[in-house]
Amino acid sequence: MKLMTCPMNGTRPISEFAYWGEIRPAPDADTCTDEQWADYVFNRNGAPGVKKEWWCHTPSNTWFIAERDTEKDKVLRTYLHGEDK
Amino acid sequence: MRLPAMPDEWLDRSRTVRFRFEGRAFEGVAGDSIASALWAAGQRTQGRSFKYHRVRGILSAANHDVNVMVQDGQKLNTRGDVVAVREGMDLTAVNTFGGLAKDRARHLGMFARFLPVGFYYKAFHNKRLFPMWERVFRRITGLGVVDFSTPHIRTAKRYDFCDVLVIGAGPSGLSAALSAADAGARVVICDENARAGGSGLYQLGGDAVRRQHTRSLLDKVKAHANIRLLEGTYAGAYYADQWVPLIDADKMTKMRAKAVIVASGAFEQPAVFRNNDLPGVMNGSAMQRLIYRYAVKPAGNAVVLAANADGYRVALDLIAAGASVAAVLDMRASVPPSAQADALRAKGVEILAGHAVYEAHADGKGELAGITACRIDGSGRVVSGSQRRIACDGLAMSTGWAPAANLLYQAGTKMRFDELLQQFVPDQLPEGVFACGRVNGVFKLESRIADGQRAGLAAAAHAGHGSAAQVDVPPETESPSHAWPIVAHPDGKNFVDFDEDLQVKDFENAVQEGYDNIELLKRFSTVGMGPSQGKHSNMTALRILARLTGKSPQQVGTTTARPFFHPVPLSHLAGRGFSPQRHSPLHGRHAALGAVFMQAGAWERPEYYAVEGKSRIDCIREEARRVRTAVALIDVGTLGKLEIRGPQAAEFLNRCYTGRYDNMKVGATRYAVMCDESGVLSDEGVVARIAEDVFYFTTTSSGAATVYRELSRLNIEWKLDCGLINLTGSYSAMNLAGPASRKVLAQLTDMDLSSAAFPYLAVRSGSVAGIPVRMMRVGFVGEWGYEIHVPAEYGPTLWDALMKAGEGAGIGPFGVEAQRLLRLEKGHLIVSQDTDGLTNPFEVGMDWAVKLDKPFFTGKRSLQIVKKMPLKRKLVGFRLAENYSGEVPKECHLIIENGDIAGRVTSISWSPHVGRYIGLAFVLPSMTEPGTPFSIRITDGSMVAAEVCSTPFFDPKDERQKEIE
Amino acid sequence: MNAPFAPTRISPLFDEQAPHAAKWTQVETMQSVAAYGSADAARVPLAGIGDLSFRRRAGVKGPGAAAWLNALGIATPERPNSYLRLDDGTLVLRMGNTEFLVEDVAGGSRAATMLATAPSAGVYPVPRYDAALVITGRNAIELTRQTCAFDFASLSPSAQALVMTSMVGVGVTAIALDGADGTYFRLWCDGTYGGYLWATLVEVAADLGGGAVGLDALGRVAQQ
Repeated sequence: MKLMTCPMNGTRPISEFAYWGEIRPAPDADTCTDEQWADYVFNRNGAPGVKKEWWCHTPSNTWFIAERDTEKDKVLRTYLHGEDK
Repeated sequence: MRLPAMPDEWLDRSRTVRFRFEGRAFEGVAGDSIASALWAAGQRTQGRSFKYHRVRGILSAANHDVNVMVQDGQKLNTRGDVVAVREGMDLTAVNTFGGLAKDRARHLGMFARFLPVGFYYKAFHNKRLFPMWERVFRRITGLGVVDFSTPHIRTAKRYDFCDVLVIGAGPSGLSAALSAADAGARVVICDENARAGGSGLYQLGGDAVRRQHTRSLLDKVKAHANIRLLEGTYAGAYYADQWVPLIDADKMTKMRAKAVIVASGAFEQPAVFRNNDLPGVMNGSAMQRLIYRYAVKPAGNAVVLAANADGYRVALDLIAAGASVAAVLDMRASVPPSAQADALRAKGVEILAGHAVYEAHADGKGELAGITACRIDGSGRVVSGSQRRIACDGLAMSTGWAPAANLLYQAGTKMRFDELLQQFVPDQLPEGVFACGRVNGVFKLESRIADGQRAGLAAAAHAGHGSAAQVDVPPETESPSHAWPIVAHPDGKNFVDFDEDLQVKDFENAVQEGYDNIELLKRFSTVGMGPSQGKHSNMTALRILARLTGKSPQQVGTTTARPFFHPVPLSHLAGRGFSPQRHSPLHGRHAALGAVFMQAGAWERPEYYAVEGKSRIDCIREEARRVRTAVALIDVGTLGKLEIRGPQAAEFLNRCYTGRYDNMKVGATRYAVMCDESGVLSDEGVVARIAEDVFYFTTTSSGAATVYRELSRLNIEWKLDCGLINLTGSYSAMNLAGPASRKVLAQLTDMDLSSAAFPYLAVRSGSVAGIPVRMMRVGFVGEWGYEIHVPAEYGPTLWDALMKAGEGAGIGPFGVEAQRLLRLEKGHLIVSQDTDGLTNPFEVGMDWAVKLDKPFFTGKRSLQIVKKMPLKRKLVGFRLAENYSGEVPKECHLIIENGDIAGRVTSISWSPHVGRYIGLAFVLPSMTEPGTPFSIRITDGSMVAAEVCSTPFFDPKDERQKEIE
Repeated sequence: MNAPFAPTRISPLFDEQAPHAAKWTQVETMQSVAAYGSADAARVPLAGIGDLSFRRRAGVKGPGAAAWLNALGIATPERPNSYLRLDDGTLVLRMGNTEFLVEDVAGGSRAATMLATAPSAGVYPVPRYDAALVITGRNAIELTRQTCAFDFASLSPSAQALVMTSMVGVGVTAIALDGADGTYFRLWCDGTYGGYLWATLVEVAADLGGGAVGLDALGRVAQQ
């Protein structure tokens, strides 16, 4: 089973984690068009590549960010929100 | 025939083992495998082949083929090569009709012309006849008979951890383990065989010094403090990040390593010539296993077919075991000089270069009696007229190997075909995966030990111990595998895959039909799809395909290796199942009151409380009646309970829910609806303002965990000055409901329960029965009542106190089904029962709860878009005709209007208080006027008439919540 | 209704334990099992599963939590995911970075003090009504091997590390402590999953020569 490293709790099997999805910047809700908003809400980028994603270590409720290469199935690094160095 | 004691034999000669095979009594020695005990007793015919039912004997003695597959009582899939004999065993060969000797299906071989490769794809297209054919297939293609009374066993799985896992305890594996352990790594080394040592303890050529190399490595491994040796344990597969299931007789261990070394060796490949499957023809390594592990003489007078140095050692081992070797036929054009060749010549053994076996011959029993040797030219073609007969009762095949690279493939290793070695070798290993020994293309014994050292140091370094050092591993100078160990014969029966009875011409036919790539060839011919999964056949099949299509083996490629390497018993896979069960603190009280439990997500909740002599539906209706006429108590502890605290707590709620909470008074509660980013209803609950900066709010039972998790994430993004606490499991909650509820509660508390001090929808803190409580007057079931929240450890005490205080008023418990009926009578929806994955608040009449004038809340922008669009459906109340007595529609039955779907039923129930069947349904916006008739189509296609009506169905003005003087 | 009255506390494991309990006792107004039977004593050194839910507990989290605790005289561990013991035996767990669990020994009052003190800015009280288990015995590690994918052998009492992981599908917080009979483990989990965790661990422990053990057999482990 794949391993994932929580920045706070260390390396654990992926069964201890919940995957939220890719971090995508939202358009400005006040100024964007309905089409732009719908595209943000419903469409996802399926192309392989390095993605920034929210993950949660469920036993400790620790949310963090993982940079994952979805083509090579490799997690490049993980860090707490705001601690991206 | 049994030989005198061998130095590393597996036998305990002090214990005889009596067993039966095919109805006859046999005697073996403790430590014998089934196959070795039978061979020692002279029983060479040990099985019948799958398709043609030809007699078969030992081929690999290594579980790389299933010539010897037997049924051991209820135990199926028993591999005679590797399963030890047991006192009292009663074995039968599988796949025979009337027993091994007189198998009635043995005549099938005569019909071979009508059973070419893939014949079943073409022969059984007649639909009418197929049921008959299916019955025939089930009878004749099984490999054992299932006894349905076999007990269902589960064996506990376990996890384990190490720095370096070495798979295979032959010379290179043992060397790798020692190097890694000496560098400080915690090492686990496993071997599928009953005893470690691998080929190092049987590929000897009669040389005791050679044996000593491996023996001393093994002794060191056993003595090393950092090494755990697991014999009789095989690595079943490779899973992500160095996770390997280790399978032994009792259980599965899920081993997590930091580095994995695959030292699994190689599978000897049988040479291909006519009748290469007669009992007595076997791999050279099979003969050596028989000699050194089981002290069994494989033959009296043998011929060795060789194309590598291993074959010469086989010949010397046979002579050391007292057999005579009539000749060594070497398929290579010239024999490389070696000490082994010299030793054989000195013993008078004829060595013939450029020779092969043309055909093997059977005696009256169908077992090997001799061979026809022949000369072959540079391209492997038979030189006509060169045939020559040699009598023998054993033929050792030593013409080549295929790496046991299954786990390397599963790990994603890129392999490369090496022309000199004539085998695939690892080209690019993934991080954390290492290979050494013959699986890595290293065959000389000294080189294998060096290669193991190299891999061990590298693996230990990867695991954080020591550093990888440069180790000299001299390249191989001689090929261990012949490029074309195949001799054509006009009459065929030259087998490639012994499991599936596939001969050379089957491959020629398949390619001719167009199945000319390895994946298609595999599936059409079924090569490699039998119980040994291609261990002894895939490489040869690949060579044939390459030659037939004019490609190189590299271009042909291999099919995908998948778990498991050997069969894994279902008991090991089943293990002990873990299904978390959540119980409210009041669970024991429910059980004591006769609750019938139902599964609600991870929770077990009382569906209703059983009463002697009453049906389920009557119990439910009685519970509901008690709520409306007296007083009753329900456990609502499964609700999600969250607290948000801090100066920006109200702002946080304003952003999460569609409503406004900053303008709530302290002590008030307010209904709350949550939407996701697309504006779909995702959860709902009640928000209570406990203090200026403290809110206590509930979620649905099934949403509790996800809502808490998601709200935690949102605050990391928003960074509002507040904190979120999950109290779902910490608090117990129960609802005391009914006209008498206030009177009952008043006995246990000093709190002012008047409607002036504690109005409908208010929240108050205080103490009941001495227990600190938070109470809310809520409207879910539509009666005066109190939802009381207490710390979980006081839950049962409070429940007992309330039940006691309510005795005089006729209190009783009520369950989930009664509650669902009561809330339906009030027209209250249940999220994900009356809503689905696309429902927005406007479709269910919750426009009032959506405050689009707030600057932001989750889903606002989407709801602004949705609000501009016409509604597609609306949730309405409905009722069936008075006195309706037909079949009652169910949830999800469709509403049909003008032949089209116009909606569906979401909730429906008989209401004793309204006196009719009532429900909620989605209908077209044009149909929402109360009184509108519509039709529901039930399962048998008939229509039931219904009409829209306004909600609540019962007490529409909520009189029950008003003070009654 | 304002006489000093201590209502009975019920352990989250009560329903699972009651059918098997032989002798009861009351500690900290919680009904607790003193003994399951004569087999308790033999189980403890092999694989004993005990219930310490009776201990008073209080939690707190937030950016101001550590300072708030320190001001109450409760020292807090320096590193995230670690624990310490105060001189009076109180356990202070630091879960993650800014969440703390304080657990009294019997008769202690730290939790009561926390509950009685108003939180200041950035301090969020977390009520804790956990199931609190203890695993003793030389087969304790093997028991964790069969129930959890985290390597409990790496939890050394001297490092005073704390781990939050998943055991038989339930989220648990675990630490290792040194006892007279060797290393033992303390576990905390949500009380509503406690019964299931208890029953499952007792079943696995039975395979290893152990099982449920009462407070009497636990002796010092229950008191310290």
